[in-house]
Amino acid sequence: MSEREVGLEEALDDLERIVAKLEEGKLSLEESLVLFEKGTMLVRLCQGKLEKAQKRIESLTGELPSDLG
Amino acid sequence: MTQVFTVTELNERIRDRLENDPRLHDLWAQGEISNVVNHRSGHRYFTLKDRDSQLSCVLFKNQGSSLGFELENGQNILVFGDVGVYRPQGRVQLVARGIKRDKGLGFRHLQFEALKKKLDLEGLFAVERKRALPKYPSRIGIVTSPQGAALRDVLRIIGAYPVQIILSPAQVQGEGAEESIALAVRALCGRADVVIVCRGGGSVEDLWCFNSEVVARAIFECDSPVISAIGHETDVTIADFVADVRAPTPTAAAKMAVPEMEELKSWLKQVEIRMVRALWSDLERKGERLEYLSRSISARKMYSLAAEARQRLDFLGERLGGAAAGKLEGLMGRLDLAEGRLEAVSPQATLSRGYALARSRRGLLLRSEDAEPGEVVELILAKGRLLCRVLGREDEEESH
Repeated sequence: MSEREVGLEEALDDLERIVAKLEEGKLSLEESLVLFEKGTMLVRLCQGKLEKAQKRIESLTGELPSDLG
Repeated sequence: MTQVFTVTELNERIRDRLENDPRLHDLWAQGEISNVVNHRSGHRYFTLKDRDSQLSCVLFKNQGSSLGFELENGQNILVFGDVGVYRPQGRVQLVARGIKRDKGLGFRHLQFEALKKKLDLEGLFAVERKRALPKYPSRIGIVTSPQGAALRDVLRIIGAYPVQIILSPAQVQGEGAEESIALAVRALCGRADVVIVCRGGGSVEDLWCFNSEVVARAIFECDSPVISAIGHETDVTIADFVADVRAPTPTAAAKMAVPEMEELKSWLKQVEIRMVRALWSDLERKGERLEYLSRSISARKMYSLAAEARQRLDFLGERLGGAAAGKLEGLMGRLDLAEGRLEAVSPQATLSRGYALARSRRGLLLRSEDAEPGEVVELILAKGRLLCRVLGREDEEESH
C-alpha cells in the first residue's frame, strides 16, 4: 500500500464536493472538465475500494478468538 | 462503685438489651449483599451494606430452605428478621427469617440516581457536547468481550465495508469489569474515528458495571465519538447518557457506525449521472455564448466535450439499463440538438462554406489594425493553410 493512497473517506468527501461544485454551475468549461475527470476517477477509485474490500481486524491485547481471524 | 464485667457477662448484657428491644424485632432491612458464605452446615452468612455502612447477617438452614433464589454478591434485597448478638464474638447481627429480592428503589437505584445527577451537573451529558459520527470512518474501535455475541453482531453488520476494526477487549460483567471497560476505552485513544462500547443483554446486575463513574469518565474523555449499545433497548445505563449516541442494540450501533454498502454503491452510480448531467446543463447554459466562442479554439473543446458527454451517457445507459436508461434518453436528445448547434457554429463548418480564419502570432485577426504591413500572417482554410505577407492596410472607422 503506497503512502499517498487516497482513503475511501477522503475520496467520498472529495466526490461530494466535486458534484456540488459541478451542480452549482459557476465554473468555466476548463474547470468543469478538470473536475469532471477527477470525479470520474474518484468514482472508479471508490468502486474499486468497495469491490476489493476485506475485513481487517486486530485486537489491542492480541487476544482474538479464532472465529474472528 | 465501678462494676467489673467479664467479657462474657458484658456480651450477655448487650445481647439481653438488644434482643429485648421490640424496635429491633420483626423488622425489614434494605441493602446490597456482599461476602456471601454458604456454609456446609446449611447456614448462610453474608453482609448487608449500603454506601456508608454494613451489617452482618445470618440465614439459618431452617429458614433458608424456602428462599426461592440463590444469594449472590451485589443483589439488592430486603431482609426480614431480628437483631441479635453472636455472643462468642460479641457481634451484632441481623438474624434473617425471610429475604426478598429488591427490584424497586434499592440502594443501587439510589446510587444510580446520585451518580447520574452528579455527572449531569458536571456537564457530562450535555447535548452541546455530543459529537457527530463520522460519515465514512476508516477505523472503528470496539470495546466489548471478545467472546460475546455483541461483537459478532457488530462485525456481521459491518460486513465487507472497508474499515479497520480495532478490538479493545474488556471484561463486561463481574468483579473488576468497571476498570476493565474504562481501560479498554482509554486504550483506543488516538486509534479510532468512532468507538462502539457494547454488550449483549443480561440481568441488571450484569449490566451494572456500565453505571460506574470510571466508565462514564473514560467515555467522556474519549477523543472520538462513542456509540453505546448496552443490553437491550429497555436497558439504559449511565454510559448511555455520556455516549455521543446511544444505540438500542449492538446491531443498531454497527448500522450507525458505517454506511450501508449497497446504498453507497448506488450513490456512486448516481454521482456519475449527476456529474454528466451537471456538465451537460453547464454546456447548455454556455450555449448562448457559442457564437462568440466559435471564434476561438474553445469551440473545438466544447465540441469534443459534447462528444465526450455523449459517450459517457451511452456508457451509463448500458450499465444502468431499464428505467434509469429511459431517463437518459431525454438527455441524449438534448445533446443531439446541442451537437447540431455546435456543428453549425464550429469554425470547421464555417470554413467549408468558403470563409477563412486569419491569424498572426498574436492571435486571430479581426480588424485590419491587428496586423502590420509587411508582417507574415496565416490564413486557415477548410483544408490547409496559407502563409501571406501583408502588402497594405485599409483601416475602417468604427461604425457604431
